Amino acid sequence: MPTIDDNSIVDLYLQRDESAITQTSGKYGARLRHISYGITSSHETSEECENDTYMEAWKRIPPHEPRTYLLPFLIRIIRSISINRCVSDSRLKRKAEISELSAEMEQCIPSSLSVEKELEAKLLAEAISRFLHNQSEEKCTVFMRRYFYLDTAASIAKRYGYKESAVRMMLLRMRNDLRAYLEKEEIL
Amino acid sequence: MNGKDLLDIMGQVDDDLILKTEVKPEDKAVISPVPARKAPVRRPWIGVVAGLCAAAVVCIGFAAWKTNWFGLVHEPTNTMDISTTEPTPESTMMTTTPPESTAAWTPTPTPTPAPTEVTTLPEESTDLTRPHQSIDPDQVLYAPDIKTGNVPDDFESPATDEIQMPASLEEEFSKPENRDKYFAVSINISHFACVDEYLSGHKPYIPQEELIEKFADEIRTEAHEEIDRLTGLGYDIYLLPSYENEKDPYCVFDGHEDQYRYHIYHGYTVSGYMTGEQLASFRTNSAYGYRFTWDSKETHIDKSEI
Repeated sequence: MPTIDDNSIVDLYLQRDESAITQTSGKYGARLRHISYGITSSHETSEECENDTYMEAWKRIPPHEPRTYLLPFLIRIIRSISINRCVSDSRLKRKAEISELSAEMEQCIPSSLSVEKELEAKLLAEAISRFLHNQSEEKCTVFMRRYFYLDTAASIAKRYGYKESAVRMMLLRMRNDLRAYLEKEEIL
Repeated sequence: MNGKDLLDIMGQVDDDLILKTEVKPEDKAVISPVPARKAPVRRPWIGVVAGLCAAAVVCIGFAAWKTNWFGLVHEPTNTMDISTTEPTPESTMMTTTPPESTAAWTPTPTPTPAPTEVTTLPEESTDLTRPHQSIDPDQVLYAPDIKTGNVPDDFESPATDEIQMPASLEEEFSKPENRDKYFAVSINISHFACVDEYLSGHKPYIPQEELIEKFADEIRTEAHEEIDRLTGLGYDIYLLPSYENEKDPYCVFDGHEDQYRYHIYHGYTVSGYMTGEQLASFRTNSAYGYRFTWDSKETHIDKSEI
């Protein structure tokens, strides 16, 4: 199936044309499944998450029109769905790891912080983005692979040729640095 | 807000961060481009055989000279002539016998061959006793990046009495100007003599629980003794705690709140600062294997951080 550009795919969603999902699946399906599998460690669940992602995209477009950011838009959706599946489905063996990741994140941002409004959460996300933009490429990659894509330290180490202890130490320092950065920015 | 909320907030980071760190299904693992030198397997018998051969050559030569096998008439005119033209057996042995190497520490008094395959310098030039406090931070050399300082993971773990280190590290400490400089390194020390000995007689399969139960104390003792030996040699090293949260069934735990662990197969890691000189003349214990990592600033763990 010939793929079309993201702009045209979004047009299909806006026109409520169901081929939008076929086009999205053909162009990004494998990548989305891959991301979901990285989080859930289950082929079956990742396929279910992929289908749920198309449904969610169908609901969100419109009002969203992600013409220039369709892939990140879809990645965000499938990431969120996959994490929620891990948390709610006790059969998934990664549930414990999600808890571990959450605990790690709380080290850099105290859980007592109240971010009830979406706007404040957005400010925090923007600050994290600024922080990551100021890091070296390898540090940024390791942080994102761990806390966005939820890779294990072992898999990050293996993929990028690091020692696992090096990855863990780098993450520990980055969490400390992030906390200091957020305090300096008066976000905490 | 709980940790899950924070993970959700991470989902709102910038698009470019998401895209540039995405791993596509077809992407293969990034393999460290750094060549690592795998230390050759030591064959102590080679030295013995070489010595015997050299001795035999000398004996034959000496016999030939004494019996004038080759019909060469050589009448020395004075003692100086003898000493300058005919090598004595002793002097020949001096040139054929490998130079005496740095003495190895071994658990038994049995003489061992040269313990390291890295080039060694004369003992008297090695300053092994500089204390940690004297390290000038400006004199510490870190790997330029994480990959450069690693031995690629596709290398098998070192055998006993073997040293593995990244080529970049060896290249740097071999430079004369870096001999006195400190390198930030980590050393993974693998093998436990008690486990190796036991496994050699109990193949093919021993449940790890059995090994852990049987050898936990001995493993701790071996690790302590080896660390003591290394620090006793003046190496500024310290045991790294584990940053794993989960209990590994293959590990023996040690220390306050079990923060140290010794993996029965993969050993344990020490970290520290070693001079180029110390690295060049590193003294092994023949019961263990040593894999060096040249740490980058990002990955090196100073003792003060533990």
